[in-house]
Amino acid sequence: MADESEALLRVDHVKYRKAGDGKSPIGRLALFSDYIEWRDNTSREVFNCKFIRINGQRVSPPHKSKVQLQLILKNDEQATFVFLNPGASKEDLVKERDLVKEKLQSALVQHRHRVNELAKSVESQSKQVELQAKQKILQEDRNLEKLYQNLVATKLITPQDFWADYYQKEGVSEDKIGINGAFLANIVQQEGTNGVRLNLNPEIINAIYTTYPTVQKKNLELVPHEMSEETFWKKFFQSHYFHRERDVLPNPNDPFAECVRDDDEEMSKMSAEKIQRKRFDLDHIDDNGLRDFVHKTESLPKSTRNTLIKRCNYLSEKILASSWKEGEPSTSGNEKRGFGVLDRLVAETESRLESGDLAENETEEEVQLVRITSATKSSQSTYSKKDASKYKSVVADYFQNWSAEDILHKNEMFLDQQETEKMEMEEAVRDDEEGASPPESWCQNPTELGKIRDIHSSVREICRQFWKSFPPVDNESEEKLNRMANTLSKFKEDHLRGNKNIESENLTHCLQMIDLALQKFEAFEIKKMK
Amino acid sequence: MDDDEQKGYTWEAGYAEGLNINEVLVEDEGGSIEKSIAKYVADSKRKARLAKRPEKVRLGIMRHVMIVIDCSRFMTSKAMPPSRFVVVMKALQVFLERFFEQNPIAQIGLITCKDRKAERLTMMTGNIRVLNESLNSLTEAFCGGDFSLQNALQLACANLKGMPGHVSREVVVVMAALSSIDPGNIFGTIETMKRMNIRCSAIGLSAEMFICKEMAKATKGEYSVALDPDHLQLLFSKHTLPPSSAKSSECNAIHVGFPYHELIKTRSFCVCHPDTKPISSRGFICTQCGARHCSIPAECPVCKLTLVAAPQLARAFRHLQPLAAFQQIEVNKGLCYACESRLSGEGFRCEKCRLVFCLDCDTLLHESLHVCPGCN
Repeated sequence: MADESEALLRVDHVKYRKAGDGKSPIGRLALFSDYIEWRDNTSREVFNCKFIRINGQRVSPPHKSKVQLQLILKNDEQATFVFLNPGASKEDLVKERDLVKEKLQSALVQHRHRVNELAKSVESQSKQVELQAKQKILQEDRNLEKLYQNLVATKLITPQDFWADYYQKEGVSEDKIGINGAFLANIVQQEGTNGVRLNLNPEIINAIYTTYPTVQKKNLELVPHEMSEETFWKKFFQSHYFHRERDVLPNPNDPFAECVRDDDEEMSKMSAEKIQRKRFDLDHIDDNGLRDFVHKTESLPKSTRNTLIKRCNYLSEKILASSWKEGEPSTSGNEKRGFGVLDRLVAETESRLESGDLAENETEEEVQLVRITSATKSSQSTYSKKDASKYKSVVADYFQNWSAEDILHKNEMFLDQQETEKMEMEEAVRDDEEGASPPESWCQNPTELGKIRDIHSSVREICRQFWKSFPPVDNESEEKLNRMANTLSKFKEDHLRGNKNIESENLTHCLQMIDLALQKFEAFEIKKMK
Repeated sequence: MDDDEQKGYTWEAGYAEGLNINEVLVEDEGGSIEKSIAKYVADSKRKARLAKRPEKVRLGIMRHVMIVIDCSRFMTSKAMPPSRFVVVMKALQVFLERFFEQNPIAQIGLITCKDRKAERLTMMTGNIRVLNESLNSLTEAFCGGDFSLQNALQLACANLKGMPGHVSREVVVVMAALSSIDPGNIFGTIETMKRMNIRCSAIGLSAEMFICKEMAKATKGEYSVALDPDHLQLLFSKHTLPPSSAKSSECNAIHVGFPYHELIKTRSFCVCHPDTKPISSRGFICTQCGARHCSIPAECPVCKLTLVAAPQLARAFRHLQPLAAFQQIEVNKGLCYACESRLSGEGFRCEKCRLVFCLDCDTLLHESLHVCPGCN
């Protein structure tokens, strides 16, 4: 499991203070991305420590003569290194040691990040999820389960074909969610005995990490080694992040003190990035030419609300920035952060000489004209007098003999789904001698009927797979087409022709469907050979 | 100079005059503007009736519409009594009926957006029963959280992606929320919709929003805000008319089957009622694969062939050559040509045959019959 990559850092003349007897040997310290290693110059001794074992590190105070770095390991062990380069001054040694410390710290943070990601991805392994989802689908729909057993288990249809239609990963839901601007304010608070209880859940924590990446870094650094999660979050909410008004003093106990510095820096960077709006830029269109020469005595009144406002604005900018960096790259070439992305829209608006709102509503839609000749329209015929009177009498008769019951009779002109169903429902009450008998009368008992139903559904499913691969566009679909045609004929021979248990009359429809499909296949083959 | 100071600048007065604010929103004695809103809605209805619809223009008749229903906490607001959610559900049911009446070969799918996540409620289908069942399964208690326009649009896009080129793809967003919490850049999503020729329209329930306006403008959709339940119905009914298809969409010949309504003598199960039995002994046999259907129009699930009856397709004609709007005139005497009732006050005159009809007949002719009895 040795890391193949180059060492991140190598330092010579480092003494490793071994516990126990003997003189401590001098060697070289090498930092890799997964572990830290110390090699003895003389003997073959190697001290190898994987990052997983490291809890934290400590440095010797500046007034001590020796420049040391100590690693604190999980089982309360310690490993101490002394920096002893003979040629270097104490300052240089301190710089060297600090360099090692920084690099080790960042490597540790990254390592922990990686471990966390790995743990998360193992939980939500997509394959597992897919399998479970498929099982759930089969459990919920009995018909589908029967189909699956009849067709996939007997290898009539491949599982891929089956699931291509019934399991859809895309187009079912969109899960990536954005961050609500008020997420900190919306945290549920409860009045406890000694203050306020806040309920945090993974969603809120995720939102905080996405908006303030520095907090995430701090979390990886400090938890669970220097403080517990609970303490960490307590300090977080007591810090400036919860929009407190007072200025934060750099308190060494407060882990967020250095975050204040970083945030302030970023805030000033963001406010320097302006949007160019030529029409609203008062400095640009200012008529007062003497302004440059006048000494500006008034500066912005230092109101007490400034910090709070700045911090609220900063929160909004960070939220927007997080959503923008995840999405697709902006259509303009350069990557702009925050509100700078709106530059393109602003430029478009500015370049227009007329306002869209005040303009007349012109409908200049692109339309394609359709030529409708008079031949397609219904002809207006004039009937001869004899015909006219004949038609009139037919209509008059109809209305005279019209009665309410006429509505119940079949009327061929109603073909809408709703009207058809309404009428057929009323009809179904009556006995209909002419058509096929209802399914209950086809066979002796419900189980046989169930079997017949299964066969019908299986045939329908195989036919569906067949028609899906029609017409074939490439080699793969042609292969599938041939395969399905074979399956159809096989099914016909095995289950339909040779089926002794079921009356052939019950399977006629299935045969009809299969025959239609095979006919089409034959015609296709003939055309292909030409 | 005194006069100017009192009235304000002259350009101000001119601007306000053009906007007609004082005319449109007149306050009555109690300070309420309900009456003027009702008047505005009635005016829009009248305008819609008198609007000149384009004739002989290529239309997208095979429409695939995804309806996005906002299920955020804003839908539970009682601004439209009894609650926005109830009003929208009712309007949707009426809309679905009218839609399938006017567009028999179109399909609709439903998407809900709750708590910043978008989920597909129903797949694209032409079966109005399935859609009504899904709508009934939504309850007001289900609503909560925030709305995400980007997730809704992306989900609609994923569902509309697989459609062939000649189909007219549309999205209608019913939105009550005043904000949209998105995981990424929504302007990018709007560009994608524009590129894929998906027409996105929106119906607002609270206030006009810039992002909806941008979306509608970029994709050539329509955006309006409903003022009251009647106005909401009116806005929905505007979407029952097929939109004119853009120049860029392909025009292919489509394979369609015309099965007969016949008595079926072979013992068979139908595809629409697989668990029970066919509704009647009469049905339709798909011309390509032989599957049995109980009613059409339908898309055969076995061979994906569109099955229609000729009269249903012929209905498309009424959109291609709509009955021209009648001119409203003042009449005090005479009878309506169609129903022979006395005309009093207003009458509607057909441009071609110059015959006058009453208000009820005018509504009937334009909404149902689509012919002028005087011209034929």
